[in-house]
Amino acid sequence: MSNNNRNLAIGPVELSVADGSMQLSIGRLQTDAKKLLLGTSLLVLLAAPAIFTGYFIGLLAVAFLYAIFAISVDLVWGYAGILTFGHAAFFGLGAYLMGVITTELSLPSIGLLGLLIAFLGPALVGLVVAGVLFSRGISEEYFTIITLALAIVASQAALILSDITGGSNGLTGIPLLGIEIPGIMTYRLPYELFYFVALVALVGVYLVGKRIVQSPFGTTLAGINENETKVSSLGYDPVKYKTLVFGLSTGIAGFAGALYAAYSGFISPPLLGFALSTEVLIWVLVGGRGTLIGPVIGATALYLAENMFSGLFLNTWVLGLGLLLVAIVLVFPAGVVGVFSLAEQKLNRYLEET
Amino acid sequence: MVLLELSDVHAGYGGGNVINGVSLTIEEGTVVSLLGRNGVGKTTTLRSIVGVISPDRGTVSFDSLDISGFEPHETYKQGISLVPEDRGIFPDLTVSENLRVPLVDTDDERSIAEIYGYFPKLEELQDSKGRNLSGGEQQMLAIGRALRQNPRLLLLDEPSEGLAPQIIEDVGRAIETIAEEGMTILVVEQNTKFALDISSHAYIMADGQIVMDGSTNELRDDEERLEKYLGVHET
Repeated sequence: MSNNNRNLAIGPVELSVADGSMQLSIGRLQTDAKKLLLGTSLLVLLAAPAIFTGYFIGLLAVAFLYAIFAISVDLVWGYAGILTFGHAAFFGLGAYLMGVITTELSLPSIGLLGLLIAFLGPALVGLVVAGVLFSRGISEEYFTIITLALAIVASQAALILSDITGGSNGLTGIPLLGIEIPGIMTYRLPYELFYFVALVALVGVYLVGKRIVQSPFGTTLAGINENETKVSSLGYDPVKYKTLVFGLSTGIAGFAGALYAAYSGFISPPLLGFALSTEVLIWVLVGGRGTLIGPVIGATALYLAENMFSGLFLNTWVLGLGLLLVAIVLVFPAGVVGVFSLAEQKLNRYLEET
Repeated sequence: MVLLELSDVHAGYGGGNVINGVSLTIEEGTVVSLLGRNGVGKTTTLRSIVGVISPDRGTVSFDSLDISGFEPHETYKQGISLVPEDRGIFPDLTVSENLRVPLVDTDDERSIAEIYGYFPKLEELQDSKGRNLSGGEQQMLAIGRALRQNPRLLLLDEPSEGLAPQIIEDVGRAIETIAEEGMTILVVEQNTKFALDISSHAYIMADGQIVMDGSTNELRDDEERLEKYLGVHET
């Protein structure tokens, strides 16, 4: 190689100077288009409160929290290949921890501490459950069945432990986020600003998730999902990896649940149960499993659709959702994102040929 | 010194035993082969050494440590590297990425350059994806990758399978070079000639048991029994 070679890259644009001749190349179209699409969507979302009604913005904020929840499920199901039928137990646990800390302990001012505990608590439970089960050599199929039981146990526990959880009435009057250091400062988040908190939380969790799946930890996890024996014969302990990702995922689910509790101000046992656990699977599947962005799209789109159309179609909504799921699984098993990447591949091939 | 010892190992899948009372010993610094027809339990024996399955009965000891029931990542940490029959190459990773996958203790690792020393072909192919390698290249990559942790025992499951005669010779030479440096190796093979050429001692399996063993020179002369258990004519 000659020493005269120089490369200068600014974003997708690459300038290379080699032996006196200069070449300017523009990076692959689809990388640009993707970044442009994500950037534009983010701008639209930031400007959304100025455009849409408060009702719609409120729905969108909740959709973002469910999208965080969907990311947590995608980490274990999409990347580690562990199907979980009980993730709402962790979402709900986070919500209840937040609710109990801010109302029952009459410390309404420690919302931020609540968020932290709502992450750590479910993460710890997730670590213990996965650690104990996987280290006993339980298969992933049995693990799935146990997660199903977990959701049922959690929602029953919320009913029975009514002194703390309010039983079937649930907990009300959970305050929005705030910080209070006695004598120094008091800050309450205005209701209108919560939308931005949810958006920032979603973008943050998405970026953290992206980092994780691209890290050596994430690629090892993908390897374990592909062939556990192969990866463990190269020195990696699959139990450790599966346990860690499960704990991380349940922590994120709890975090989303805590934000949900703070925003809605009211939580009740169905939040921990089987229905939400399966709904999130549908969001992930429709959006595209193992893509992170797919579950975000799936959760947001389906939650919004549910709230806007279920009023019109009443009970047929659930039927429609079921049919949609069947159609997706049959026709587009890789979900919405899968359809886009297929189109992208075709476009690239077309561009390369011309 | 005895590095690996299996005594009366019974193992199998889902309650049914594939191997019934396998006993064998491997001295440190030797190459030993385990021969037998398809389905006699050779791979199962390897799997019970590395811990993919755990023995129902009997013990596996490695450097005097009882490792029966260890998980694969635990036997790996003891210094046992397995090259599986399917080679276990990651198709979407390049040659050099595949070589960087194994968990290594940096004080003890063999550098990538050292691996390329054994397999110059791999250096030429370092940026090729695993899926684009030929069978022989994949086999070399799998052996190279297993060497990364500088194992104390290298287990090879049918390294000659599916390879052209010329390539088998190349792989055989590489194994001999590694062995000359003092590596302890257990080779499972159906290719009797290849295995007898590279090893000093051989065990022959039939129906889940060791039916004969001896130095490769002795075995070569016992054509009658080789024919009986392996169905091959040795020249």
